[in-house]
Order: sequence, then C-alpha cells, then structure tokens
Amino acid sequence: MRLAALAWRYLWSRPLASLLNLALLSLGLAAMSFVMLCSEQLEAGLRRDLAGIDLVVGAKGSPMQIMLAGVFHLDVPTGNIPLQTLTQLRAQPLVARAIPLSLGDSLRGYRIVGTEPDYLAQYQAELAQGTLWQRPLQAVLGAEVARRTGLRVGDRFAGSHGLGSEGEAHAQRPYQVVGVLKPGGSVLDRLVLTDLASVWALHGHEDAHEEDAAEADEREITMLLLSYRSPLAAVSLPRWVNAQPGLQAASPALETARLFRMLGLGTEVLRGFAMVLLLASALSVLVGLLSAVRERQGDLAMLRMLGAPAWRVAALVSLEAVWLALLASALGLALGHGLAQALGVLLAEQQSLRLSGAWWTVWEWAVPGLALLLALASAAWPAWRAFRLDVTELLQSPR
Amino acid sequence: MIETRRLAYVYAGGVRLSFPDLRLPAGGHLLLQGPSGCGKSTLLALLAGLLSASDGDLRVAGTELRTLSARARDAWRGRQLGFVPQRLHLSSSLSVRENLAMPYLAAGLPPDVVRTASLMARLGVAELAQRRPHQLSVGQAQRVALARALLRQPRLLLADEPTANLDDAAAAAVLGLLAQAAEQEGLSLVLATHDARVASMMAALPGLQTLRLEGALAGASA
Repeated sequence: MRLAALAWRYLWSRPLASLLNLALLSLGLAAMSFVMLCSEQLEAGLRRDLAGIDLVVGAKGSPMQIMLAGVFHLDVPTGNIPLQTLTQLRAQPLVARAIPLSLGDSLRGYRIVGTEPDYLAQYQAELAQGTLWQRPLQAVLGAEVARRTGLRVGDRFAGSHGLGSEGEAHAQRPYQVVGVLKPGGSVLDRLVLTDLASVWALHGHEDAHEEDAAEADEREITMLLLSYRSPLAAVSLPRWVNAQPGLQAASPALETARLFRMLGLGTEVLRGFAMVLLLASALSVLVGLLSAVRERQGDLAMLRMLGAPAWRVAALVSLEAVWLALLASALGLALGHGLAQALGVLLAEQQSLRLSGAWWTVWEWAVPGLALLLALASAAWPAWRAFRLDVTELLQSPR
Repeated sequence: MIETRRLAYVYAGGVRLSFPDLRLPAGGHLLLQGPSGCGKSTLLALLAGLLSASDGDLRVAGTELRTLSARARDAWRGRQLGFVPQRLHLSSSLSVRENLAMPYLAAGLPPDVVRTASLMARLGVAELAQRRPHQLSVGQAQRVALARALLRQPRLLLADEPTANLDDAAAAAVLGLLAQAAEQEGLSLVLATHDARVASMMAALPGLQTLRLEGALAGASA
C-alpha cells in the first residue's frame, strides 16, 4: 500500500463529506471550463468567419448590423445597394477582391445567398458532391443545410421570401441542388449558395411587367465583402465608401472587437459565479480535512509512532486533497463539455452560433491546475496540523 | 539495551521530572510501574524518541538518542522499536492486512509480504486479513496490534497498559503472548502499567527488572 492509496482509502472512509466536497469543486470547475469553452469557441468561430474579410459594404445603417448580417448571417441586412458599387470598388486599386452578396430568401430558415464562386474561395470551401452552379436557380448547399433538410444533388426546392421560415414560397421557380459542400466549420455550413443572378431571376420574374432593359443597371445587391490589397486601404477605403450616398462601411475587425467587449460582461458574470463556487468548495475542503485530521488523530499519531516522519503524515493529508482535485477536474471538465454540447444543440436548433462539446482549448489545462492549487491551499492548514501532531498523546491514558 | 544516567525532562511549564538511573542488559525486560501522572508516559516517550531529554544520557538499543535529529529519531523508532498502545489504535478505515502494511508505509518501504504472512500465521490471525478492526474480538485485535509492532523485527517492544480493562484470563493471555513474542523474536519487553496483576503474572519472565515511579520525586527499586 502506498501513501497515495492510503490517502484514497481515507478519502472514501468519509463518503458523505468527500462527495459534498467533490460536488462543490466539480461544479465550480465545470462553470469555469464552460465559460472558457464557450468564449474561446465563439471567438475562434467568429474569427474563422472573418476569414480575411477586411471591409463589409452595405446600405447606410449600423456597422454592427452590417457586419452581423454580412459576415455571420445572424442579423437582417440594412437594405440594398446598387450593383454599380461592385464595379466601382473593383476598379479601386486598393481592393484585392470584392464579393457581392444578395440576401432576401431562405430555405427552412437557412439563408439563400446569391453570390459568386469567390465567396467559396474566401473560406477555402470544398465540394463534397456535385458541382458549382452554372446557371441561375442552381444551388450549392452548406453541409449543415444538406444534413438538416435531407436535400441531395438533383433535388428541387422552393425558396421562401424573407429570412424567416414563414415567408411566401416562390413555388413556380424552384431551385435545383447541384452541389453540397464539405463541412468546414465556417458560416458557409448553414448557407444555401447560388448565383447572384438567381435572386434577380426570381424577383425579376414577378415584377416582369415593370422592368425594361434600361433598368437592368439599377439591379441591386445587398452587400459587398472586400479584401484589401494593402494595409493602406484601411485608411482610405472606408472613408471613400462612407462618402458615397447610401453606402456604409463596416470593419469586421473593429466590430467584432466591440462585440467581444459586449459579450465579455456575460462571461465575467459567469466567471465570477465560478469563482464564488470554487471559493466555497475550497473552504469546504478545508473544513472537511480539518475534521478528518481530528477524527484520525490516532491513526496519524500511530503512523508517526511506527516511524513515519512528520512530512509523510502531512503529505498523506495533502494527498487526500490532491485526489479530490484530480477527481473534480475530470468531473468538472466532463460536465463543462457536456453543458457546452447541450447549449450547442440548443443553438443549432435556432440556427444560431455554433458550439460543440467536442472542442478543446489549451486553457483547459488551467482547470486541473487551479483545482490542484485550491486543494493544496485548503490542505495547507490541516497538513500543518498533522505535521505538528502531538504523538505523545498516544501514551496518555484515555480520559 | 536501555541505559539512562541522570535522565530528566523539563515540561513547558518548567516542572522538572527526574528519572532514576536504569541499566537494562540485552535480553532483559523492564516492568515500569506507578500510578497515573508519575511520569510513566514521559519515560516511554523519551524511550521512543518522541521527546528529547532535557538533561542526562539515554542510550536505547545502542543509540544515544540525544544525538539524533528528529528525522533520524523517526527512522530509528520505526526500525528498532515496536509499540502496542493501550487502545491498540488499529485504523478503522482499513482492513487487518492494510493495517499491517502501515509499518512499511511509515518508512516508505514496500510491504514484506512473506514476513507479514508468517507473523499473522504465528499469531493466529491469518484468516482475519480482510476483516475490519470493528469485526475483531478484543483478543484478536490485541494479536493484530502485536503483529503490527513486531513486523519490522524491533529490538525493543513497548507495551502501554497491556492489561487495561481485561479480566484475569484475558490479561494472562496477553502477557503470555508478549512473553512468547519476546522469546521468539529475541527482543526486550518494556511493560508500562499501573496494574498490580502484571508483576505477579510476569514473575516467571527471566531477566525482568522493575522500575517503580512515584510521581515527580521518583524512586527506584530493584
């Protein structure tokens, strides 16, 4: 029997107290790792969606809304902008790449995005099946859309008007699925991609009697995603865009930084809650170990009598706390990942942010680290008491 | 085996306890008698190296204890000294076998399985290995505690009030067990007791010396 094994036996010789301590410590650590997982994961997800997009150009309105709608497809767009803007911006030498987006329709809550193949290239998306669209009204499905809707290459579907799932369906002009993307973990997973012209074809058809050839140049898109050719562009381009009537530039880097600051408050509250739990558990471990040392005074004194140096008896008490910390770390991490997974499933149903329990961050090493630190801190006093144990009490006659 | 000269211990409160000189040859046994509070426990603690003498010399099993550091005294105690406390102090959280692993654990050694098994067999507790202390009779618990004290083949065995709360038959059995162990292991017994029965029951033990302590003003008798 080794010292660690003896500490383990002692731990479970008081099962109720140990379980209580374990529960408290695990909950605190679970809250801790949950906060860590969510914030790190959301941040990483948002950063991946930014994917080198330097500027989003939309109709005048809130830059935050433009960014949320254009990059993350979470908010509704601020309006439409003329298609000419695309040609104007492509003519700018500072622009490396300009991708048009046309929003407006959806498939069971998943947005149908009219765009150009460059949009897929921006995210290095690859096709799992089929091909890219060749003509209007051909569509490529994101991996999640394909999985959730069960649509496959060759299937037809009608888009519904509006970004919600309740819109009126364009039943007369169905789309045809020509390709499905591999899951890439980016926003593309939950989009339906089609040719920019599809949207005009659909809505143009409905408004055919109002339209003539001359009006073709007044066609509109919803947004533009720009990549800069040089960092210099960050100085002049947004200014140029905002000077145009009806145009608004949103810098995703600035807007996401603002977003994180806003989310930060929520995570701070959760983190504070975790800290309170951890502090309570540390106190509970301290009290538990103190009473354990008092209860086991005879055992510990006998160990000293059998020749154990004082440090070994103190180590025995500390090891009990170390066991607790290790068990609680495992439980806490499991619980934290379970919670993240559950929240991820919930969010997926609302077609919102992506969150998974099967995601790890190096910061999670902080969980066992913190647990050990707390456990050893709480064990310090009880261990000191064990270290200073009066062995001669063994020789006193019982009172 | 034990040699003391002008041994004294001063308590934290300043009370000084002086012990009569003692010379116990190898193979001899010591009966330490006296009422509670006479300094019996203090002498035992000094013999076990738990306390450090304030004055005088104390040689136990060939070692001058005053010259050893606290750490060295711990190691010395584990190696040279067996101890059977009055309340036995078997750990209630552990089985008999695990209790018998404690002397090795205390020293940071792997348990000597062969020695443990043979000693358990000799003391008739081999079948009790998986039991918990509360499942043992008083006699069985005494044997397990004795086995624990003997495992590392000490040269000196301290027994504190071995007959307390026992009837005559049980007391005779315990003392018989101790005498037998002393003979088989070739060790010296130190019996600390205020029980008058011990002297008569152990009268036949060869090489037995009696040291009677009479409170703070201790006097010796042979």
